[in-house]
Parts: sequence; structure tokens; C-alpha cells
Amino acid sequence: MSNGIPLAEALANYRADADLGPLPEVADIDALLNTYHPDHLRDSVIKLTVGANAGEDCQHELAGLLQAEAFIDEADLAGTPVTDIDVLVIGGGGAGCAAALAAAESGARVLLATKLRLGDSNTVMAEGGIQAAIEPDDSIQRHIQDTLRGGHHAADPALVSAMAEDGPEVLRWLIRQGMQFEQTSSGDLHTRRAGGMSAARLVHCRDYTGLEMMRVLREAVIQHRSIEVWEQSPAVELLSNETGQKCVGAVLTSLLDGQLRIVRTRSVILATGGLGRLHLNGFPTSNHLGATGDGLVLAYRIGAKLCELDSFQYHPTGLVHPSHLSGKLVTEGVRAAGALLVNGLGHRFIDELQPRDVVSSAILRECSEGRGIRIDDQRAGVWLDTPRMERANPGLLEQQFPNLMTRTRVSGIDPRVEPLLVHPTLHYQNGGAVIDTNGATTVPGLYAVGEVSGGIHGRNRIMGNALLEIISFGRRAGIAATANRDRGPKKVTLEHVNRLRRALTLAGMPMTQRAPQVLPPYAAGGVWNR
Amino acid sequence: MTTGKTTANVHDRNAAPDGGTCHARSPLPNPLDGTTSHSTSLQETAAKSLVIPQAGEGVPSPQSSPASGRGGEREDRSSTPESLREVHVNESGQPPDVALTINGLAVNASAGVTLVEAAWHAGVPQITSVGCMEGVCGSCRVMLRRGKEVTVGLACQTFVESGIEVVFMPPASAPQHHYEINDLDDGWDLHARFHKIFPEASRCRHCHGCNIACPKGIAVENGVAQAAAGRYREAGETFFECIMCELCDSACPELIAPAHVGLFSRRVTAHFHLRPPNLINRLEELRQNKSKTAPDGRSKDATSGNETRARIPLSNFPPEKAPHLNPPPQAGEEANVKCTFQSSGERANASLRDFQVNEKNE
Amino acid sequence: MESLNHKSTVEARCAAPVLLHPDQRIGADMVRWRSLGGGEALVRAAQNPAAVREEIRLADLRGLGGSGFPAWRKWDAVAAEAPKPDKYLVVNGNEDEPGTFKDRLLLEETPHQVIEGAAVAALAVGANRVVFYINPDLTRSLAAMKSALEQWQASDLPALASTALGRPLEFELLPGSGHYIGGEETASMEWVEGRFPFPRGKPPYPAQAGVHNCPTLINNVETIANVPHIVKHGAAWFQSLGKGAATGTKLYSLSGDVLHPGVFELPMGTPLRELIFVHGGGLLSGKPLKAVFTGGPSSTLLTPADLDVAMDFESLRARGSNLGTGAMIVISEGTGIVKRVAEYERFFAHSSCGQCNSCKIGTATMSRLLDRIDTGRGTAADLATLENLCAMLPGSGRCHLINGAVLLLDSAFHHFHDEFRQALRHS
Repeated sequence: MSNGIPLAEALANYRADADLGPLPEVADIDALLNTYHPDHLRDSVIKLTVGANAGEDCQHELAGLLQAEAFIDEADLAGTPVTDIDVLVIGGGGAGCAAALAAAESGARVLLATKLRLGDSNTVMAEGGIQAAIEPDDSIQRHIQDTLRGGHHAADPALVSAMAEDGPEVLRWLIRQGMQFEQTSSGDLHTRRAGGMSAARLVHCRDYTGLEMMRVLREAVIQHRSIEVWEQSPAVELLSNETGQKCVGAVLTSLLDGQLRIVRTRSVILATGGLGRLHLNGFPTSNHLGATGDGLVLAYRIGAKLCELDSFQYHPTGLVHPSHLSGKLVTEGVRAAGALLVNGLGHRFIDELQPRDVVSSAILRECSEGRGIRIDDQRAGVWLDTPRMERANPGLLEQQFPNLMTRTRVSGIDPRVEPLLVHPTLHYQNGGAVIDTNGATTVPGLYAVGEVSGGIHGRNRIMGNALLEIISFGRRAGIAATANRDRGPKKVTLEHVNRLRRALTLAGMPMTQRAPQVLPPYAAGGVWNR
Repeated sequence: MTTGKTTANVHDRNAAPDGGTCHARSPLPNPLDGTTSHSTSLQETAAKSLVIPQAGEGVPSPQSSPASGRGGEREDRSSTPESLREVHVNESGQPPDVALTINGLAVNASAGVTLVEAAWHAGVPQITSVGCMEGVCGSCRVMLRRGKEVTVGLACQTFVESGIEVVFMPPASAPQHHYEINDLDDGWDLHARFHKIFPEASRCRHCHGCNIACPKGIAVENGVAQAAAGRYREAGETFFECIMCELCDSACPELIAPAHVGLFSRRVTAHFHLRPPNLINRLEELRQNKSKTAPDGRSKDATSGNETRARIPLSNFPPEKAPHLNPPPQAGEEANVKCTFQSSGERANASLRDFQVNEKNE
Repeated sequence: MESLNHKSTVEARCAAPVLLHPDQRIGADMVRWRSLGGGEALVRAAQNPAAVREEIRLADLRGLGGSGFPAWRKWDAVAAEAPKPDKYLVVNGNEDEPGTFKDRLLLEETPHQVIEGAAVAALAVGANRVVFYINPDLTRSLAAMKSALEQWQASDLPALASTALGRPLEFELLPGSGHYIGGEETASMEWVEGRFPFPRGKPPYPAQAGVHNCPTLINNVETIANVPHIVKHGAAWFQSLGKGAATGTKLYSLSGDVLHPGVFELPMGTPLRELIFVHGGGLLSGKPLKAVFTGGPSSTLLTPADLDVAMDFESLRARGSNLGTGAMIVISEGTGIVKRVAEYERFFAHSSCGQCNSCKIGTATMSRLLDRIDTGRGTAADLATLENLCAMLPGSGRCHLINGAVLLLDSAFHHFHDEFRQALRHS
């Protein structure tokens, strides 16, 4: 809102040692969420008209994409080069690489197609860590319960159990691939607690866990003799069998020369990540450039059931300033280490370690009710009080959060002496394609792993489960997909596209929009090059 | 020379597109053709951003619509991503008076924006090497000229400067050194293996090109020397901040591929040496419980009431009967959505290592 | 690119060869060489070393290793400096780039001519240490020089020179490191000092602070080989050998799609047409001429429109080109420019020493993109990137390697842009 304390004034009034006042109690969490959380904004959610989730709630911009036209017709495929492969993985982040490696380890020939560069993903930016129940005072069951509770009990317990049980083995697999983790002086993996956890369970590599994981997996994929990688190759459509009921491949395009390519396969594993770059509800995002929800669109079009399409995680502390870091995360670990949230009046207003949806809603409330710190009409936020934390723990920021320090230093900001202006940012898609414990969707031949899949995090993901999920389910799907040894498709068709077109036409829906988006419009400049 | 040079002024809302703009000639519909959102103005902008300039032609100015409010805490649902572009352009409300060149095109940008933002705002075509935009993915490699000095760097970490010339580099070539970590046996012959995989690593000529090229300030040459001397843990630590942009690989005249030497060093350190007791103990527990599990899914272990959990194949249980392997939760615990683990007064002194749950306080 | 590294038979069809006169092409046989008049120039120079420099100046002897720089200016600069405590003369025989193969011929067949020229130059500038710096792959040249130097040491000439110098004159035969970049002036000094031949960049200039910080003269083998003749016959004679304003003769290395590739000693300023069609026997199979790459460190393209240009430094510079080492690599219609340019750029990428990111990464990137284009995988964006790099890179390195690499590509784009465009996929 246009009221709010101007930035300069708020900075001038800021004191790292000021009395922050008592922490107000949040009387009614549900009311807070319902009033301020973007998932609950009036008109933000509509009902889907066609498809496997017809009649169910869906965020309205996403609904537009799910019910959009395809880009290609069968005629476009004439003369298109065809590649046959055992397993096609679409997406080159953590989940895609884990799936490709697991499939290759199981004996499949794998093609991994990624929209940008292998490793361009949300995985590489993950800072906090990966959850696994390995401490003596912790248990798999506790991990399961924490996850279910954090997700407001909307998750599929079978999936959550599978993931939690996989935790220790996932760590071993990652270590075997060559990933390092922080250790205590006795050689144990160092674990820490964070929001939503009842025990210390977060394993990490300083605040570069995602980078460490991604560079190891990327190298393992590149080096693997049975995995071929196509970069700059987004998928524009899936292929179905003659009845349109089974997924038998995909149509890829090249961002470099616009050439289409058909891939015929027994199993397609979607690992396309998130959709932050759709900027739902006009929010900035922490996501990487390619996070446009392509896999979700393709899965829905071929008939896969999705879930929780009205539930997105807005991470409370996205940077507002400077502009090139807009929406980028300050990891929750900083709050776990003791940093407080302070409004424009210099007061605390929420318990910082509440679940993310609660904290985000509280920040939005402060800004909405005029107690935020304001740069201009579009940019406002609250303080993340890093200087106070630095005073209490000198050297902590530099030592534990080198990634944060590096990113802000480039812009001339020192979190040790000035507080960071933060605002909720679109961070994670809680829902996605419905899957079973093998990562299989409701469409035969189609798997979905990682952020594009749903049912694991319910309506709110807790920290550290995303990195676990991508490896756990990536591997499960890779193994399961390889085990599928049928003779392969007789025909590859776009029958499922026709089915959607019929449904859209009969429902009187506009067909002007085409999906998937592939890149946000501000970054698409001339990329389709012929 | 046929390099096209033109001015794309992001604030020139009245500029008409240049004549003779070239749309994709392909008969195939363009996946990126202007249908990325419900907003018409966004469609137009997207369509214009697809124009591919012929050599010598201009890039039309991206059409800017008036900045609409951003959503979020407000209730304005008509906000579009394009309004975010306006936000970016108007960094501190400064005019776009920094003149630079990106991929041969003249660009005007506001002070304080990065090269990536400037390239997008100006509609520079064919920029596909952008990923995380926060300096950890290593995609946005650029060559930069300031005066007579040419350096390399990352576009998302470099801010616009007057007169700077920028060329986005093609992606790095495929790695030339092949190994699979599981082929490395028990690690006792690692030194010999390393030199077979990376034979060039012992031929460093100390040109320092890798050090100069590294956008993270890593002492690359040192790291290679450490690895060549068989000190992989130290070499891996030297390369800790490496984002695998592979600029050092491009800079090495002996074709050592230092980034991959560094990554190898890190990987073998974990692969051979990381054997954490807590993880190993838990894995062993799970293995034992699995072997003790009765066919009906109940654990035979009478003491399974505390930490050790039976590994039960969950396909035996329909979801609505999720197993309660613990004693049932304490009254009130399960309903505790707040997840408050520590009182505020202790917060200021908390460090991550000391962060322990106190169950009784929940 | 066809390598003539080991070709030793040479067609020499000029009327009055000097450097390649039969009396000179006798190898290391010092007795025979002396009987044919060898050593007289040194005797004359020992009587009046200062006069030698004046003669060199009047003769307008140029740096024939590629720079075209007037030799007397370097000589005078070194002569003016005091020893610290030594002065060096480095005879640069590190010839290494494709298409140039004249120095190896002089070293192998006329070693005494080169040694005498070096001794005279040393006297003229007061250098007491002479280093013959030779590409280690030129085994026959090294063998000939070794034998020749041994015979020198056994003769009376060193004593004669040392007396004139006022201190012992010492010769050293130093094989190079095998790196192309070692042929760069300041890089050669690094190697002489025992380090990897990284170009140092200038200033400081070798004349003031060169090898071990001592005043140093560095000249190409061919340049030095001319010295005894200028001393013996005088500047006027040397001037009369050249065409137009140019002086002396030039060893042109001709290769490519011609009937008679080889080294040709011709008057400096001979037209390109004569070299190719008279001495070179014209193009193979009578095909039309497409282009000529000028060899040496700064390569540009000449086209049929340039056939009548005089091959001297000034005339070619006026055409926007460079005589360089005098190498002419002839391309006929039917030979692809893209492939040739890609091969040449690969050579530059391989040769970049690595000190300067702009050069190493620049040449590597250009080479990769050209390979992609040449093998049918290039896009219009790749072509645009190449053009943008050509605009950005010149002058950004410590030496001229990157400049030459860009000049070559720029020149090829200028004359044959269509050929590049046609090689693109989906163009």
C-alpha cells in the first residue's frame, strides 16, 4: 500500500540494539492465512473446466495454462528426426539427474533433455539442506509426522513414508556420488533443526547444499556412459499412443535453431521443477529462469491427475532490494540462527519460526496495514534483522552463510551492519502431478518427480524435504521406469491433444493461449531462432 | 562488417518498431509466440520480443505499458510480470542513461541493474544462457571490454557501466576427461588413476589464466597443483565456491580442465572418506529391522517402542490406515501447527549447533 | 594446411639470388665457405663497427620476421645503451606458423651466412652474447648450425671479432621450447632466461632491458642473413635490388594450391601475380584464384583484386594487409574458406600462451564456433557472436597473437561473408 515507512526514514530509525517490544500473540492463525495469504486472495482461485481435475480449485493464471492450446499439430511432425531411447527424462535439475542416474544404473539407455543448461534449476540455489532422520534421538516416524503436520495433513502418507524412509539411503547414495556434507568433530554428519522439525535432521554443506548436490550430480550425469544429454531442448508436447491413453514419448525443440525432435520411449520422467517464473498473483520469485511449470501443463494435457493446484509456498524472506536480487531467497536458516523480523515501526510482529505460510501472511499483513518499509508503490517489505544477530554471534554470517554474504556483497550491501529488506516471494509449488511411491502418474508411461509432482508436502512444504524428495523419488522413478520392458509404442500420436481440444471447444473455452510457456516473456527475446 | 548496431531505448514508449522486422520464418507455430499470459499487452510484448533482427536491422523497442501495481499484499489482480520489468527498469527511479553494448547492440540502461536485466529490457535476442540470476549456476558467461581491457565474468553479477562492451559466450564445450566414480575401486591407487584421467594436470605452465578468469576468486592454479600432488581434500576445499562456470577450463592453454579437477577432488573426498557414524548406524538399524520384519508387517523386535522403527512395506497398508509406529502422540502435540520450538528470549543467543528441541516445552 | 616443414629442395628462379646464391647454399662446410669469400664482411666490420650501423640504415633493412620495422632503429637503440654487464643478440629462428618455411632453409643450408651476419650485428651494437634461438623441431637446421658453430669456434674469426669488440664474443645455440608463442620478441627473452616463453609486453623495450635486464637486440634469421651482404657490397647495392622504394630481396614462402610451392628469393616489391603465376607455376588444374592468406603473425586475405600489389611492407599496408613473414598461402576456387579459416584459428587457439583471458578464451571461442559452422552445426547466433568478438578483442592482449587471429577472421568475413552464411544450418 502507499502508506508504509519510507526506506530512508526506516533505515535512519533502525538500531541494532533497540528494544523490539514484546512479541504479539497470533490469536487466530486461520484468520491470518485466510485474510493475507495469496492462496486465499479473492478471485485468485477458479475452478478448472476441463481435464482430469475438472471442477477443482486451481490458481487462475495456472488454470489458463493448463487449459491452453498446444503448440503443434501432427503436420508439424512430418520429417522430424526421431530418436528411440529406453527412458526419457525431461528436466536437468536434481530430480532429473537422480532419475537419469538411477535409470542408467539399472541398465537403461537414457536421454536427458533440459530446457537450458544441465544443472540450471531450483536445486542449485537451495541453501538450507536436506532432511534425513539419522540422529539417535530422531526417527523415520518423526520425520513422517513432521512432514504431514507441516503440510496441514493434506499429503499422501504413503508418499511421505516412502520419502522419509529413503532419507538415510539417499544420503549414502549422494555420498557415493561424491557429495560432501558438514561434519562434526567426531565425524558425524552435522544436523540442525529448522522450522517444522521436531528433531535436528537437516544435513547440509554450509549454505551451498544445492550447489554441492547439483554440481556432483551434473558431473555424474555428464560422465555416465549410458546417459545422453540434450541442452537447450525444452519439451513442447508429450506423445501418446493411438488411443491417447499412454505416454510414449515427447516432442522437443531446440532453443538454438528451432528444430523439432521426436523422442520415442517406454517411459517419460517429468522433472521440470517449479513455476515461479509465472509470477502468480504478480509476486516476484526465487525460482530460476526456466521455472515455468511446463511439465505440469504437459502432464495435464495428456490426462494426468494433479493435486493442490491452489496451494503455493511463498517464502517469507525474499530480497526486495537491489532489483537484480528481487525475489531471491534469504534462507530460512538465517532465522533459525536467530535473526528476527522487524516492521517499519521497529517492532517484532510474528514468531519467526512459524511455518512459512504463517510468517509470509504476517509480513503481508504488516505491509498491507501500513507498518511495512516502503521503497515505492511496487516494493515494500520488512526488516530481516541480521545486524542484531551478528552482534550476538560475531562472525556467524560470514562463517555459516557465505552464499548470502557473496550475493549481497556484489551489490555493496553488508548484512552484518544493515538489515535486509524482505518480502514474501513465490518459492515453491506444493502440489503437482499425483504420483504413487514409484513416481508414476495416473497416465501409464508417465512419471513425475520433484517439484512438479504433488502429494508429498500437502499444503505447505517444510524446509529440507525438497532436496530429499528429488533424490528419493527421482531414483524410484528411474528404477521403475527402467523396469518397464514392454515392446515400446506401435504408434506415437498427438491423440491426447485432440482430446483436450475437443473438451475445450465443447466447453466454449478460448483457445488463443498456448502452453507451455517455456520462458517468461521478458526473457524470451528472439530465442526461437530460425 | 555486418554487425547490426541500433539503439534500443527501454523508455522510448513512442518508438515504433523498425520496418522490415523479421519474424520466425519457420512454418511451425512458435512456442513462445505471445501467449504467455492472459494479458493482451503482455502478448504484444512477447510477440515483439520474438523478432529476430537481420544483420544491420534494428531491434524494435519493447513496448512498455504503464506500470501496473504488483499483486502480493495488494488486491490488484491485473498485475502482470511485465510490471515487474518496469520495476526493474526503474531502479531508484533513475533514468536509463548508462550506454553500453550487448552482443553488438547499443543499449541504454538504468544505473544499478545487472547485464542480464539490461539485456532483457533492451530486447537483446538469443540470450539463452541465463539460469539462477544469483551467481551460483555458472550459466551466464560473458566477455567484457572496458577500455582496452577484456575480461570474462558472469552477467548476473556484473552491473552496467558506461561504455562497457558485452558479448554473451556460447556454452562451454563437453568435458574431455572421462571417469565414473564407481569405477575407482578402493582409492588406494587414486593418485595413479587421477593422472590417467587428468594427464594434463601435471603440465601446468603457471600462466595464471585460470585465476584471472575465475569469477569467484578461487585460487584455481593452486587447487590444480594440490590435486596433482594427490592432496584431494585440500584441493576440494580450494574449489569449495566453484559454480562450474568452466571459465577456467576455457582459459587453460594446457587443457587441464581445472573445474573438473576440482570437482573430482571434492567427489573422491566424499566418496572414499565420508563415513559418518550417525548415518551408518541408522542405515544398519534399518537394514536389521528390515530383516526382522514379519510378513504381516509387524516388527518382531519387542523393544521397538523407542527409536528403532520397523521398516514396513507400506503397500500393505491403505493410506487411510497409516501405521502408528510410535506410541500415540501426547495430548495436544499433534495439533500443534505452530511448531514453536523456542521462546523468543533465547533466540538472540541461538546458534545452529545449539539448536535443540525441548519436547517438553512444545 | 600442408606443412612444408621438412621440405628442403627449393625452386629459386630469381635472376640474382643473394641469400640463396649457390655460394651460400653449401651447408656447414666452413672451409668451402671461406674459399668462396665467406668471412670478409666480418673482417670489414671489425675494422669499423660504427660504420656498419650507418650502412644498415641507408640500406633500409627491415625486420623480416614479420614486423617490417627498420632494423637500424633497434640497432641504434641497443648500441646507445651500456652493457649491464652484457649485451645480447638473439637471432630468432623459432619459425613456427603455417605457411612460413624460409628461416629453416637459411639455417640448414646457409648457416655460416647467418652466423657471420650475427657476428657483424654483434659488433655493430656491442653485443658480447649471441644466442641462436631455433625451433626445436627443426632438427636438420639445428644440426647444421651446431656443426657450423663448432667450426667457427675452431677458426680465427671469433678472436678477430672479440678483439674488435673489446671482450669475448660468445655464441650459444639454444633450441626453443616448441611453442609458437616463443617466437614473440619478449617471449624469446623469457626462454633465454630459462622460463616458459610468456610474452612480457612492452615497455620495457628489449633495447633497454632485455635478457637478464641487459640491452638486447632481437632479429629474425633472414634479417641477420642480409647483414654480411650489405656490409660487403654497400647500401646502394642493396637498394638497387628492390623494386620501387623497397630495398633488397625477400624470401617469399609460397604454398597452397599452386604448381610449384617453395621458397622464392625475389626482389622486395615483386608483384603477387608474378610470384604466383611466374615462379609458382600458377594454380593447380588451372583453377581461378580465390584468395591468398598472408602468413606470419598477422594474417589477412588478399583477393584476385590484389594480384598487382607489390609485395613489400608499405604497399601491402596501404591495402589494409601486411607482408608479415612474406608467406603467401594460395587458395583456389574449390577450396573452402570456412574450413581454412577454422584451421588457422584452431592454430591460434592452440598457440595462445594463456596469460591473457581475452586471447586464450577469445581464440578458443572463435575456433569452436568456426568448427561448428564448418561442420554444419553453426547458427546465425554463432556468426553474430564471431562478429562481436572480432569487434571486441583487438588490442586486448599483451602481444599481437589475438590481433592476428581477429584480423584473419575479420578479413575472411569481409571478403567471403556469404560463404559463412551458407554454411549455417537452416539458413
